[in-house]
Amino acid sequence: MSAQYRATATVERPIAAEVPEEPTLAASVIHTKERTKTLETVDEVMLEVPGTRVQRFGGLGSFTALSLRGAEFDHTTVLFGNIPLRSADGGAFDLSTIPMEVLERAEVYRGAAPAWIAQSGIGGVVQLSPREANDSTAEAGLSAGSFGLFAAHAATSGGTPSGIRWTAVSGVTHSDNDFSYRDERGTHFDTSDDIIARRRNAEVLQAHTLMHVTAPLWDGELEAMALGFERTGGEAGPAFQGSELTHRTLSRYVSSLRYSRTGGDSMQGQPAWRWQVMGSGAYSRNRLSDRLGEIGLGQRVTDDRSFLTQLRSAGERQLLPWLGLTAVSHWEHEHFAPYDALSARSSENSDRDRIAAAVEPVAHGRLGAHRWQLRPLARMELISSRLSSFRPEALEADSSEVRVVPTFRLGAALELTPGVSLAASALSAVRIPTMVELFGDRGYLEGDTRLRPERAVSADVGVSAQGRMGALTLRSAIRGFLSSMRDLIVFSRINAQGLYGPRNTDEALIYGVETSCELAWQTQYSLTASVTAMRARDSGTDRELPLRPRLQAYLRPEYRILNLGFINMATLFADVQYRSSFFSDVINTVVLPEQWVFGMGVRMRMLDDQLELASTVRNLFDAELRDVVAFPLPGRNIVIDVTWHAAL
Amino acid sequence: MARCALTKRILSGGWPYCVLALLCAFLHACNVRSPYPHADLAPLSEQPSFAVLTTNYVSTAIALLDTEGELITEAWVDSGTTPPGITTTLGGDVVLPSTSPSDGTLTLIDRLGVDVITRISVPSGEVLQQVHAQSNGTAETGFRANPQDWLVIDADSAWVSRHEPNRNPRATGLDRGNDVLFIDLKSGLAAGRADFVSLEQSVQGTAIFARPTQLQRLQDTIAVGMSRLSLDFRTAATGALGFVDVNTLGQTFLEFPGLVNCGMVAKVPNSDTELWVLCAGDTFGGAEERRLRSGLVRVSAERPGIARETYRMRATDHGNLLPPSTGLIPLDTERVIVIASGDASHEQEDQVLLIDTGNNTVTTVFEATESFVLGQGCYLEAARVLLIPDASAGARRWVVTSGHSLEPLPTIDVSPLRRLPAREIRAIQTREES
Repeated sequence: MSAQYRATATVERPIAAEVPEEPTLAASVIHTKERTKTLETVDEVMLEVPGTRVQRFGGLGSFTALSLRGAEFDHTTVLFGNIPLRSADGGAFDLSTIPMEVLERAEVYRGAAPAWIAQSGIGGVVQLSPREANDSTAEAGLSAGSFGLFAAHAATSGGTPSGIRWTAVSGVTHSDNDFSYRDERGTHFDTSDDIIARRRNAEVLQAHTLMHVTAPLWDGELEAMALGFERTGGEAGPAFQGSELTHRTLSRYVSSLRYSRTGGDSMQGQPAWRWQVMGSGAYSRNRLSDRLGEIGLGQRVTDDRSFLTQLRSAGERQLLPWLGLTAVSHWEHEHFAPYDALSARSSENSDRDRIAAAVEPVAHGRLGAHRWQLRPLARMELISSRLSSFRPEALEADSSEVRVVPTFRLGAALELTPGVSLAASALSAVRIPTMVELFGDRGYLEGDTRLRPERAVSADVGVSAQGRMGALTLRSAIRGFLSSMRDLIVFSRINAQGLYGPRNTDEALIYGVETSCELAWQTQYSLTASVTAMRARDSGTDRELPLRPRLQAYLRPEYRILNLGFINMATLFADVQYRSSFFSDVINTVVLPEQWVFGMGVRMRMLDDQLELASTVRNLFDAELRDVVAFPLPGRNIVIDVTWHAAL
Repeated sequence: MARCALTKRILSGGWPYCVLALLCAFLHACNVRSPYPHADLAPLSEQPSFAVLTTNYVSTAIALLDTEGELITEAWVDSGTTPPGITTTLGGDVVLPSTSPSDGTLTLIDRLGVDVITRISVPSGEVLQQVHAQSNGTAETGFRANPQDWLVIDADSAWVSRHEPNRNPRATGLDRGNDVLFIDLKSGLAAGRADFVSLEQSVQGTAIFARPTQLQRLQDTIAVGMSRLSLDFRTAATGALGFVDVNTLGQTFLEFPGLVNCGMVAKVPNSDTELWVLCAGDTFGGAEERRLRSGLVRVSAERPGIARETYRMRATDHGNLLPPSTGLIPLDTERVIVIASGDASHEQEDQVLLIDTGNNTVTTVFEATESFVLGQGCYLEAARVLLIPDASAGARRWVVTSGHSLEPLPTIDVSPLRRLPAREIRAIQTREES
């Protein structure tokens, strides 16, 4: 169909939702470019997303995990584009290994995720989209800050008249992470020996680079993307027995090639069909050198590698004016190759194949003046594993198994009035046991190949509102959620030699309310807020699950000034995080206190937006912060950065 | 009255005050409080006779029992007694000394990584001292002393066995580990050490360390059970017992060929010259593998420097006997109780074994319903009561009859609220007893 000059078309406003194409889902989208904070990290961005809980183990570059709606950290599936990111053992993904500079946006799906992305998680899915070329620019920036922080980055993007668009980003970051903390040295009844200690062996040096190219091809689009990430540094260990010489090096390379086409007669402003095929590969190498046996059990010099290859095809077609269909198929091969130079016996490699297919009809229509949408999804996953233990005394304990895992989802949305919608969904989700759970680690953890997958059934219902009233713009959502989990895998001690083994024992019930709000008044004032209130109980023991605060809140007001002398734009912000106290142990005796964290900063653009100066103070009042016992977090710190932008 | 005035003031202040008050109330309600009575080391109204260590290896509590074995408190002190810092009040790896301190204290050894010994006055609950099992200069280093046992020598000194060697070549003398550290009780600081370098050796290319474990006093000699294991605990050298002269610090050793992992020692009742030594066999193996080199030895050390084996029981001599691995409790000169730990991965349950050295028999006194649930217990000779912790049930009790049989008594639930598994029971000495 060809468009005529000065022709007009009426495009109906989609049902109010954070992701307009998926109004039934509880989702949040954070645009990660042009943020106000300096050197912001992915976990900081997640503060704006309700239902999230971040657990950090130290300063910049330390392990950082994300939980959604009170689920376990390894219940969150993290994607870079459409590439699943997993730790080598299949456990929780370390969010600190994705620098913000390589991202265009972060989409957080709490509970259910779109059929299109072909992945699911008990907690949900975080899809981190690689930076895109929106215009022809170049930028270079330098940052410096507390605790020996230094960072530099350069980025460029552009396009050709033939439609090829490209962007490239590189950066390097260093931090000594030698922040101070109060150390009672294990003597809680004797304060005379308390000291203010400094974190040692926590320095980190990391570099990243991203190449992202799209080109028109055969009426479609070809996209190639490659991300490289290298990190080396000390492994500080828990503060009460910090290490001196233990060292870790992480390498991660992911790349993908994707071809997509859309076409057909437009229906409701959407193309009648789209189709996509993608191949990707991910390689990660994790080297740990603990020659003194400072952490874990004995000395180790390990070099574990994992490979993930993936093929995926997805299609979507509008079959009838009221019915569409999404179908996705997905094949994945994981290969894990552990190695310990100090081990007397070599370890075997493990492999796992997954084939998944999902079908989701999308029905939509009107009930009087109210539009509705219904999305039932059925997904079948076939997992074939050949796994080998890398514990010396269990090397013979190989296992091969084939497991079929069906899951479902039913989502519905109803437009109450234009800009206000009601949405609900119910789903089942499964997490298959990780490598560590199946075969243990080289230390105190023994695996069990008889473990069953963890299963969950969840439901949520909520209201989204989006609109404009004069100079006021509002985006807001509130959802209530309920999740019942069973066969949760926990480790308990199993023999006299101090070995721990996993068992399917726990059942949990988690329910709560999550809400987010973005308010803007003209262009000067804006307010971002998120609140999550929840209860998470172990159904077996009737105790609260540890490490889950009942209340978390985040508030960030911003004030923007335009054309102030030579300053084109200045943005001032302050933010406050609140987290209620929570239990750090399963029997509920140890309480980590409530926490208020304040921050503030400024960002200025000047010289025709070519020069950008920014500064952020985090933890303004130097609060003693911890997400877990034994791992202190940095106190007050400041980061200053300067960035030069140029149009090409 | 004050609360009433505050309420009036909030209501008269209009809706902003009401919203603020509601918000404060909401925040208050969202903060958690432990659902149990606070374990605050409050003075006790009666003298306890037994301390029971209950732990899930993350949270720990100390329950106290009276002479009959009845529960006084399920948590006199626990991991949440004080607000958490870098550590919790009690870590997840706590043990009680193998010899009840003669100074009438409850002494707790917080092991791997925390490396702190806490001495609490009984029944007042006053914390007398917290002693580091490292020198003062090792805050935030990679060294983990992993103290295993505490033995009060006299009013001024105590010894601590340290299980871990310090592999850092820059370690100073007092932080080399793999030794017995002498503590000056007045200052609470390390005053010296006895290392056991002569017991270090290489087995199939793997370095073996002495790994001193339990301490027992025999007149002027301290017997030190040596585990003699590699850094990763997987390789063992021939079991050995060390003797250190309290006055001269001279050392002698007695090896037990064919047996390994001989860290547990206990005195023969009413003897100052004889010891039982439990050799647990190779670590991390199944029962078959552990059985090969496990057993029980009686040692006589009548004169300083001269020690000899007077009895040996090898697990392999008793058919398919589940190898004894922990819980060494001498009943008298000829009979010993030991725990044979099962293994969940091999569906073997724990057993309480009675070894009679007089007729060289082993009797299974009790079989648990799970593996790794029975721990180190104790025997109170005056009451003829034997207590053994069962993580799945509480404190199991038996009366030892004059006919040398064991009659079971009702089991005591030692953690009715917290539901923490019982792992170790030791007697608490009063000052008068000592």
